[in-house]
Amino acid sequence: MKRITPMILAALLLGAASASAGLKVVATTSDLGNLAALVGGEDVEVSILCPGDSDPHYLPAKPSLARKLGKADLLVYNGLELEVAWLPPLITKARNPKVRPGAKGDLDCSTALTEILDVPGRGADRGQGDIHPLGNPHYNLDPRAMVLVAQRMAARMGELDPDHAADYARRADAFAQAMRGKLREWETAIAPVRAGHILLYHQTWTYLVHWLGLDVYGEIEHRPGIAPSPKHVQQMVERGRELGDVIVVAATWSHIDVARRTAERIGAPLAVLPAATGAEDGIDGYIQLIDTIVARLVAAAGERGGP
Amino acid sequence: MKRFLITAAALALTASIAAGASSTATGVSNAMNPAISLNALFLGQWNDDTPTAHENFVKLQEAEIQLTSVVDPFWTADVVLAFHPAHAHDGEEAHGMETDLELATLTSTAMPAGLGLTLGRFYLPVGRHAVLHTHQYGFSRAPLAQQLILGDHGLTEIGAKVDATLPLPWWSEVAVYGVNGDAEIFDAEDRSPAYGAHWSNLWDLTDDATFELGGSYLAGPAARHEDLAGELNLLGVDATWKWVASGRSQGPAAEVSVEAYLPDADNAAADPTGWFALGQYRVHRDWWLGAGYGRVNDVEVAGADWTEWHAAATYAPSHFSSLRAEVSRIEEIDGAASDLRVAVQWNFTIGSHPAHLY
Repeated sequence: MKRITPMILAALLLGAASASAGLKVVATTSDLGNLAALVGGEDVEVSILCPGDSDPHYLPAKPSLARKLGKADLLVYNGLELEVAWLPPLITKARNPKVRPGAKGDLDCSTALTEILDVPGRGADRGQGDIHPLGNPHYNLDPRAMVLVAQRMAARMGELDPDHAADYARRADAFAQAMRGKLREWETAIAPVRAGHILLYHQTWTYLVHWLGLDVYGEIEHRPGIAPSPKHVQQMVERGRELGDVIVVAATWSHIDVARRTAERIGAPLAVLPAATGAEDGIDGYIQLIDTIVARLVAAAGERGGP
Repeated sequence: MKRFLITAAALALTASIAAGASSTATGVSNAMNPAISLNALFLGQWNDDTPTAHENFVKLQEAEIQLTSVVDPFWTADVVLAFHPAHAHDGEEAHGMETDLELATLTSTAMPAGLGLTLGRFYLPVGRHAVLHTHQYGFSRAPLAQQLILGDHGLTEIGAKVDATLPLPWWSEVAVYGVNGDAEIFDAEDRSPAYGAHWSNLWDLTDDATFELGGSYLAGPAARHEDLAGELNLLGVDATWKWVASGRSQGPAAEVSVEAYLPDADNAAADPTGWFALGQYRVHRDWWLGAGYGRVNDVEVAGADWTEWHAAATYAPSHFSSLRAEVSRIEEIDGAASDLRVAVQWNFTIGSHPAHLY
């Protein structure tokens, strides 16, 4: 009896701890995780599958990640097949009916969008590289899209946890309010960059440049996921030299050596940007992320000698 | 007016059929079709010891057609049809091609308490390598130990499997199964069922590295040759270390795995044993280098011991095609037989192919 009593107490304590944890949210990416934490506040416990410094196209589907999913009440994911290489086997492995496709705990955040870019036509095939047949999935770099996602998250959290539905809605509105102020600030600050031209390493930045109205003349990795051919890189270099006032943009996880050599051949500055919250030390929130991206682009525009 | 209405109705019907929207009327729709993919592996091989067409060739090594779909709210299904050159039977030379139903599984999505249930024809989870499809191998063929002990026709069986995740601080999963017992390792004359279990554990050593340790048990009524006669009990152990550099898209990665099979048969003169160690390293986004070593003892007859080593370079410019060059040597220990083999293997995948497990 002396042995059994502490075990029962421990079990009760563990049960009490898990009961007080609130809604368990698993986010596939750090940006969605950051947003879930903002919207959920103290009423949710957020876990992230893909850390901010890792390319979400290529996350290894470790069973330990399925363990996180197995305990989730709500799965929030990017969608548009960004996670197609690793999320389906994790969902299968997790064996958690709460987050299976179609369940209330399954939230494809791309369903909140009003505009999806780069949707390939009917002739799309893998000859064009690892394209996403439902459209470009990197909407996390458009703050306007993330406002819509936050509202969708708040609505779903409210359905799962009606007692705190008003709190979720209030926090999503606060995020939207904060974004409205920041949007004006970022759109004003980016003006020097608009005067020149951008060469992207990968289509990670499509939504960002669309929102900020930047002129992109091409991508180094023109077929997503496939190493660029020397001939294509040469074409991009020649075009960049013709245009002048170019910034080469790459994510921290890109093949920086290729981007750097291309930038050097053009004679353009290279802006290595964090593509997600947590991609670098000190970028712990979404607003910091966009602040950093805008600041580095503006700094690069200064290096190229733009207006 | 009547003619106009009929014409309009006919046009509307034609338009809806052209859009594929009217399955109610036609009974034809592809909306619920399964995801379909095909993987084909070709192998060119030259052996220095046996200059025959049987061992020196360029051929289709295997083609797999995979169908995957949700069946209903309770099940998902996977079917894999494999096409490959015919296997030799009873000493007769093989000719032509054969088709196998490699997998046909129903996986429950409605089991309680986090349990998994698989019914149908599935790979028996003996270690890690035996459950891989051929195109997932790090080398052009399965290790010698897998071929000679588990059977080179694969270890797939019809039966039921239950999986459970254990409530431990690390990932830990147990699978138990009962099957028909008609794989090559079992006695085709004995109709007793076979059964077994696999316990796998995985630890995150760092954000980038994992270590997996597994144990397998397989029991059955049979054996496929004289050294495995009688009741068979097979133990297996597998260990895998994986490392993928985070922060680098398609960056450096490495994997080292070691696996051993320890069968114990009632009437064996000497129980065979086998083990292998395989390693792979991604040196560039499209390039992998690999090396492997293996050994089997007392296979087929007591005292027949073999070693193998392999070295391979694989070029994989996308997820959907790769080209591999490989050099292998297989030697009989304390015997005269040895074989140096040079192989080139290429493979491609088309269609909607499901993501592989870790």
